[in-house]
Amino acid sequence: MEPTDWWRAQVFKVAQAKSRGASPSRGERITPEMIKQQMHNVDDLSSLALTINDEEVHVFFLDTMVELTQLYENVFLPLQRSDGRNPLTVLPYAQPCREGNLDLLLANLLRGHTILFFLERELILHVNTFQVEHRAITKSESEATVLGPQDSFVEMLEINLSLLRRRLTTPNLKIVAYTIGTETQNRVAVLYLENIANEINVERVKTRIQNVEYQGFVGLPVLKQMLEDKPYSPFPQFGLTSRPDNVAAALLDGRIIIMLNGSPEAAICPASFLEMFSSPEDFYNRWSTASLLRMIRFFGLFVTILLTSSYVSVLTFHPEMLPPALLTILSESRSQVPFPPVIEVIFIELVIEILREAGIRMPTKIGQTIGIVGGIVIGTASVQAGLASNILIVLVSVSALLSFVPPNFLMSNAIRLVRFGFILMAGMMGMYGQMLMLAFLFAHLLNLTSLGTPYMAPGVPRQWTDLFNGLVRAPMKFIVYRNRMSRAKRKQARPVGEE
Amino acid sequence: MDRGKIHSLNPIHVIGLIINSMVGVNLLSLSHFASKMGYNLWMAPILLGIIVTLTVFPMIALCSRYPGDTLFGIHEKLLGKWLGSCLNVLVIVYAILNTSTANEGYVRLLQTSMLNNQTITMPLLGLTLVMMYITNGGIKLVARFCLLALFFTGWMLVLLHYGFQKGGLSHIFPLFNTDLASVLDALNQSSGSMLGYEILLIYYPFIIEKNRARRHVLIGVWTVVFFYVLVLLTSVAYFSEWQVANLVYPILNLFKAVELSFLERVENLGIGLWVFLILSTSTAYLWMARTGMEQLAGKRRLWHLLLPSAISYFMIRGPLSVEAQRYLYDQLTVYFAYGLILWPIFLLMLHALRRGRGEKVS
Repeated sequence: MEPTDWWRAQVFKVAQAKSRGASPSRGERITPEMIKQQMHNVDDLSSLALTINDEEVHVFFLDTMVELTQLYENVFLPLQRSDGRNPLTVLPYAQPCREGNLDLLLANLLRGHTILFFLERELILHVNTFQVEHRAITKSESEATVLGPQDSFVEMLEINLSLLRRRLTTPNLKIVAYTIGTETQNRVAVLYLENIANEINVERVKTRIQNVEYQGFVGLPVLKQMLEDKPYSPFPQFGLTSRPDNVAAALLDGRIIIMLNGSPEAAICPASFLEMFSSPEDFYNRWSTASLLRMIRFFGLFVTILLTSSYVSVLTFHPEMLPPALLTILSESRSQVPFPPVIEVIFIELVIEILREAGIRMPTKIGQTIGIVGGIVIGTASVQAGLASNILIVLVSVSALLSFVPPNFLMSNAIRLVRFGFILMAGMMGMYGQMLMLAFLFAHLLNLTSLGTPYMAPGVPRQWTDLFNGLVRAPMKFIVYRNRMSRAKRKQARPVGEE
Repeated sequence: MDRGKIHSLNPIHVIGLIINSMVGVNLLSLSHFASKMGYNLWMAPILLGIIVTLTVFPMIALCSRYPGDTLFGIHEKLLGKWLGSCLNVLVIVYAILNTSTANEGYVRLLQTSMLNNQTITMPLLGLTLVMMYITNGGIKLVARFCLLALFFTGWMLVLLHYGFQKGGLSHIFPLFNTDLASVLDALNQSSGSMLGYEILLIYYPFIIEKNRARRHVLIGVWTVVFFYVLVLLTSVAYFSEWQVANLVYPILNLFKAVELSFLERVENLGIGLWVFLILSTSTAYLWMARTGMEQLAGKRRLWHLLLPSAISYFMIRGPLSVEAQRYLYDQLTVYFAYGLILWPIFLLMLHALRRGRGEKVS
């Protein structure tokens, strides 16, 4: 392990305050037997009794977390060459455990430290020897861009933090660490720029994290759901990204970042509805292209929820709304279909959802088969068999494509769910049903908050300059102020009148 | 979201609330209601706007003397617990009546134009549920919804140019060829379309910039007047006098003037989108009723919302005959409203007698 990474890991040395059942009281002398007793039936525990320089040393480490060569080179070799000098001077990275805090010692052991008992000197040391294989930094699969940095987070918190430290070389970047999850003891990091981020928001995030009680978090999305303002809503209220450039931009805007060890993502809070439709690439593109793409994404939302439901409502209740030529085509294509439009649409939409789900689960090689099955067998054959009209297949495909356009995966899922509500309402009450559902949807969105800030900002106006980086992405010259959503301490992102 | 936070309405919220609580189901028939004035009917909103402006002054004057109290609170402080509560019940009844007026008018229109084969049960149930959801979010959500409704429906004003182009421009010149009786009758008939601003008496304590509230209210009121005049000018240009007098929903016929290559019968879309305007009106009144119930009970409970909603639902889909309902909504509500709008003047006089002129009560 590089020394820099080692120091990084030290940031997370968190005290284990919660006492466990059989632990000795504070101050009592810890013996190697206590460790063995606590760690019984933990078969990856290596317990060695060595004699180094005529001194008996008990060594404990987890061989799944520690690489032996490194342990030998960094711990045993210096000790053997020490000629009886104080081990603390020989092992500069070692830390003594004087207080007799067994819980802390066990926590360090479980985290990949090596525990050394010098029985004659009555000295207990722990050395960070954590070394484990990790995934290489690769391109982001869920948020790929053509331009801009291509790295993405991995499952190791230390590596993720180093990716961010490289981008933000300022002492104002604060990283506050917590340990949560009663069984998993996950390390959570809260990141913010102290001179920009809103203090109340930072405190709010910290309080929420400290009050989370759960046995363990296997991924950041789980933790995120427990921290969000309205847990029952289908919409994600915190941003989720796997791109360090996204996180750096958010930090610079005054947002607060939550990261979890073992999860290749970062949560951005507060986040607004409109931001779920923006990608970091918007800033790598020219402003005009970026604005066009943003508008396509946003209007894609309306098309996704209204296109197929309009097919249902128009054909069921208001056929008079179609121009005669279009109506003729539609009735011809539907002439063989024996179901009412709502059943037809739900059938095809469900097929699309099933295809999508199956496509994710299938290995890539079989995935192509799924494409053929979906495209030819279900698409063409269902039309020829008279189960669905071919116009509907076109509409469903367009709406399915548009539902994948939002860069935020959770938002895209939420929209696809909401779409079914629109189809059902259109089947029951036609265009009125659709509009009622639209009113309900937007009332719900208006009611949502992200970390106490309105989710629909800047639609609910908080600052007019936010509109420059909202539905359109104005030229950089106009983006002078930080987004009001983050309630930053310093509002200006750069001096006015620079040019 | 904004529970417990008293000062929550910023100027934009106030303007949005005023505009959208005024514009509702009555706009659909506005030119029909004002048809007694003949081709001069487009002046009716201006006259109504002047009346509204005059009545806003005593309202703001009363509220500014009780900056922390709604009308319900003012009643209790000024008239005593018992008499105040009795009056509060009346105001709650008024709020529920107005909620029903908006919902009933819209649901009937839906049934006649879009959903001919259905009873009004499901559409009304859906409307009521969404209305309750929005109201449950508090006045700030109602205000935000009003702004959103403005955004979703305001663009329809652009469609007016179809009607305007096809109509006769010579119709709109002011001829002043009406007598006072017809003007008064038209004003009385169309006054329903200006109702909604009186909810100000209830949400005044929630306004952040109280000393500029009057300006914001008047901006809202005159924006509505401007919208109405635009609509009525187009109606006057597009319809004959006979048509204006005999078409119940002239707006829907105005929609017929719209010609798009990909869509016909645009009024279906228009009526559908109108649900935003209806909801923004009815939620404001429902919130008024809920606030009154809370004042009566002295605490905040969900049934304070459920009860007025249920009453409003069963007034429309209940044992009342359509004739009785028409009397309630078209006559009783309007006269009730006249009373409520003039009521602050009486309260101000009472306040001057009891506490001295201009005295503030916190």
